[in-house]
Amino acid sequence: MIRLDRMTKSFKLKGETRYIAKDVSFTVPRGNSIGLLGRNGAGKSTLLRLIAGTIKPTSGRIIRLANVSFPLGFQGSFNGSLTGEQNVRFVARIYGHDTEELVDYVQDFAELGKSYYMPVKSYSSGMKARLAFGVSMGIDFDYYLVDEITAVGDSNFKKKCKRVFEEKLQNSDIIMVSHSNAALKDYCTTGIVLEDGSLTYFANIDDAIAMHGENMARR
Amino acid sequence: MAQMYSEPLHKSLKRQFSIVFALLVREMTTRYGNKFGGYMWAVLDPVLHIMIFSTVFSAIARVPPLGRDFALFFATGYVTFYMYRSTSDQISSSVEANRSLLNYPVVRPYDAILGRIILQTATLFVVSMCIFGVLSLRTTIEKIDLAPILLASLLSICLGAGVGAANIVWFHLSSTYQQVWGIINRPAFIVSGVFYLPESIPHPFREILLWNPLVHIIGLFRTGFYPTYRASYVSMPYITGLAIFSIVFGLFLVWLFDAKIREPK
Repeated sequence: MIRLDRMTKSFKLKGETRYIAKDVSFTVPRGNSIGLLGRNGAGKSTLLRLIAGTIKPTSGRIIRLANVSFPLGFQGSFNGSLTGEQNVRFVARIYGHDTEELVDYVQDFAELGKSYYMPVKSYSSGMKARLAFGVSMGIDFDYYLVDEITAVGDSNFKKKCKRVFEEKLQNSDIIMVSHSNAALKDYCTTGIVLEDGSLTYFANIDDAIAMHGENMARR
Repeated sequence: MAQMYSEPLHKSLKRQFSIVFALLVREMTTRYGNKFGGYMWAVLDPVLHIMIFSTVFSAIARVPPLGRDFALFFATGYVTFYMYRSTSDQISSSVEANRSLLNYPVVRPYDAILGRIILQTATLFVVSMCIFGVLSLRTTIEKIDLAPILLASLLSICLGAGVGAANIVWFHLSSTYQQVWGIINRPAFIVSGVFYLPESIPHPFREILLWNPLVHIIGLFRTGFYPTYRASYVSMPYITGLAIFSIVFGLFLVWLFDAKIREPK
């Protein structure tokens, strides 16, 4: 369950205060996947990070009675001078996951061959993405955070990613930023629309998509 | 703070421990970006300073203020000073250096700080052992009293960690302050009694000098190497109080500005 309790998030830009959300409260029970909609710059990614807990609300609070992931396929933390395997080991350690098990899982999943034991700085962007996706899939979370689903690798690998991710979603929920209505309908049941500093929660994703469509048509 | 579960204490402690351990291993293998460079400089910095001081001062004076060996005298001063200085530098950059890791919801700024304090303490221990080990080969050290040496080291590291933690916040809020801090702290060892004893400083200036806690800490450290040196000016309440205050205040600031330092400058 994720609950926003009188949460406000604002930031100052050239002396002007801008709001992403003002004094909002609502609860999303487990079993619901949330889609975040809004135009560019409305604060979707910021909201995602607020929900993850990596940044803090200006006032109010966010209560998570769940285990929330880092952004799906996050690779910003990979240290270039460490090997793929060492980077995986690090993530396993911070999540208290069995290190050998995760190392084996990602080795098997990412299909990097010998490069797995090479420094990450020698990787292509595709190889990095495979490694990152493998790490995300190797650890179980209640909520997976997704900032735009991006396809990884060749068509076979893409198929595998989709299959494994959908298996994960049997037991997990997803909080997703996307501009694709099809993806939102596929993965989400509820939605949040961000527009002009106000945040609206919809228990049904179709209503959220409709609302966002109207917003976009208006301006 | 934002641990998502209300899990039992021993479980959350274990989780905390494994996160700090992970950061520790990661920083150890990369040591701030460079495999060998980081460690090499950790030893080279004090060694070069001690060599330069010894060469210059043995040309000016015949004997150091204490004992016969210039190198030992400067080592007891500079190593103690270096414990403070390097810890404060390492801690003040700990959050910035690990910023990308804050994207993992389980990692908090405190973990980065704690990981570096542990690594820094271990590094300093090895560095000191090397330096004084080599020095004991070339000069006879009459008697070593470990208690004041360890206490002075602990106080120096505590003070450095506290100042470093506070600077995480101040540097984040103002880059001007960061520049100014760097400039006014460069000659700090001159007023810390690294290459003289406060006893040799004339009346009004000595009292001013004694406001500097490092003068006391270095004096305390030296009593462990020079059994006849009394260092009567050392005020234990002053330096222990200040060391504890600085670490508590530093960590309190990090807690207070948690939301701020999580966001990039």
